[in-house]
Amino acid sequence: MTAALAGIAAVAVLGAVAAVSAREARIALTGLVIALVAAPFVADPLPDVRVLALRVVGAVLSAQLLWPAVRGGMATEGGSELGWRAEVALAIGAAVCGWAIATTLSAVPPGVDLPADVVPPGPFDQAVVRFAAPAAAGLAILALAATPVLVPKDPVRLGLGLLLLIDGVTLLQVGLGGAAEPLEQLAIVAALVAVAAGVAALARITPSGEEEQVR
Amino acid sequence: MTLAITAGVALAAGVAAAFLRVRAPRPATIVGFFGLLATAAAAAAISPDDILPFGSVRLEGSELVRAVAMVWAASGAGLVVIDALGRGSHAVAAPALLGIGATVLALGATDGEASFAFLAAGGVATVVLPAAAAGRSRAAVAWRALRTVVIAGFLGLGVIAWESSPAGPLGAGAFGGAVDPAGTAGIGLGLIAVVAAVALRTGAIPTHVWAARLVEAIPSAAVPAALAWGGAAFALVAASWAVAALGPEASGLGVERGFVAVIAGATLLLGSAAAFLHDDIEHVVGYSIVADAGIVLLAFVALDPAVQRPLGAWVLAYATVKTALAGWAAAVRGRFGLRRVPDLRGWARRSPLLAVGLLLIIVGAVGIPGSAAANARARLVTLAVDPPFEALLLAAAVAPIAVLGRLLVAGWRTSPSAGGGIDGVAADPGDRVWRAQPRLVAPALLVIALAGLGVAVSLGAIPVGGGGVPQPAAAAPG
Repeated sequence: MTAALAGIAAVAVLGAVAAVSAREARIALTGLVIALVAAPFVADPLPDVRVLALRVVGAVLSAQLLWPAVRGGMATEGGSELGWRAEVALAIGAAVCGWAIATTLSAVPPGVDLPADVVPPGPFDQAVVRFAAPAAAGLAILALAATPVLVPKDPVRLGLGLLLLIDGVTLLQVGLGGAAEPLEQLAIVAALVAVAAGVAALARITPSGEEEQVR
Repeated sequence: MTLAITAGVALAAGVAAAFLRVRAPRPATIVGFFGLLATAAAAAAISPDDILPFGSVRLEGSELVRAVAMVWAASGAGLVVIDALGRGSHAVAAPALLGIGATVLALGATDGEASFAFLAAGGVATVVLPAAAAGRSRAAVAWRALRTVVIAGFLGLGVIAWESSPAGPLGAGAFGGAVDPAGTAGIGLGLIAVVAAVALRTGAIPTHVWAARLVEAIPSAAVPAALAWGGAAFALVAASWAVAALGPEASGLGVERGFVAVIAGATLLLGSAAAFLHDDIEHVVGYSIVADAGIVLLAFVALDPAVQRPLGAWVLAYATVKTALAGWAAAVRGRFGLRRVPDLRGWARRSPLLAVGLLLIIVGAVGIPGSAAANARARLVTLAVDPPFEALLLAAAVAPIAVLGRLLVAGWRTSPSAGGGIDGVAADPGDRVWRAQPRLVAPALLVIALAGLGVAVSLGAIPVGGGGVPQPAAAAPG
């Protein structure tokens, strides 16, 4: 379970890397789907199957809503201005930080002094990985989302960034305190779909050739 | 179940109106109008005993949710008609419905994280739909507003997740330990972060630029849903969580609370000054909403459970009164086709009914001494700051007299060049033609009705109960 959890977390981060750095918007959208679909599975224990289904449907629907904007040419050619190598390095750095923070906090809760004879768990113990994997993935995805959210190249990239921002926050939340409650999962899906629909609606009215005005 | 039904009616009608708006604006407005009436009717049935479990989280009815949903839905119906009879943007009903639906779910959820996610979703609808209907020239403004609303919502969600988690600074209580100095710093950081989220969402100074641009980009009648209702609901959820979770540690957060007090005071005073100085009536509406958010921020300075009830009363009152003000601006714009105060000289002579509406709005905004809203504002100020700053902030309560009084004074002036105002006002046939042209006068009557509702809420005619949003999940660790 430990390796599987870390593996799914890595898949989510790789999807996010593709979403922010792919030159072609179609590949970026595919990366977004991977990141959004993988995210709810980065949890131990897994949420209820109905919640998982809801999140998967929400992820696919969000990407589907963005598709007309991509097909309509609202996304400019060229990926991240940092380049995919820099994005990968950024993601790895953030993931390591997230893993280390989660390891430290899960080993020694704040305000608690461990007795001297108690050995804190290692960073790859199962009890630690169930928090560290989602925390690492969440922090990595948040770091990747920062550029398209703050300095977007075009409306589609801003939409991708905002959806990744939501994805990253929810993963970080799982890393801090476990999977969200069903009502919150419903609210998260509502937010994902609302953001994607909003981006699609605004992409329709953004004048062609003036994509930079989203900055 | 009544709470879920209310939200379901609002969301279903909102989605239907949003889709219809693309090809059939008038039917969209009709669907939205009746959807708002149905939402108000459904909200009247919400009971404090109404509980719908979702795992360990619940949707709970309360007097506050009932009051908010009823009053805002009824106000929204009035705004829809004013817009339809005036500018005819037909972009008011869908965002109002979606915003109210999300607000009902957010104020009813016993989990602050779910509440913030609902409010982010609703906020996106309230800023995007009217901007998208406004056309290509408004796209840039809408993009920035969309980004701000999403960041605010998920910043709030992230703060709650971190603070309340076993690994967060409030998690120490769950392990039986005391909060150490680093934990106190973490709690203070959480307070700053959640206030930053509220400031972003409400457009408080210095994060007001997106709000100022948005109000000039969208129809006036759509401003309350985007700014007043969304910001108010966001602040209610955030304050309820902050009081429950951070309140017990408030004594150790002197520096952070002082910083928040500065932001709140600056928002109240500078927002009022900006509303007074701007000539554009839509800016006046926007900045007066921003100024009221300054009072809301005082709840985060006090961090006292005693703020819950006055905060609920104040939020409901200010959002409703400013809804009436937005209705007045929409009616003026629709009737005279003008938006600058100097150009509107003589408007009150042409339409005494609109002047009566604005007078009632001033009464609601300033508050009759002893009324629920005036008491709530005074209580929030008293709980948050000490003399002499208390007197300064209490004195700012009369700022609406200057801000809105200026509009009224301009209405009674005559233009030296045109003998009754410039063309848009001079060409108006006046209220006396109400039999011949009811479409011209009906918006003024609706403004009076909205203002009357605002005054009734200010007087405390609609109970808000305890005023807070249930937050048992946040309250446990502290």
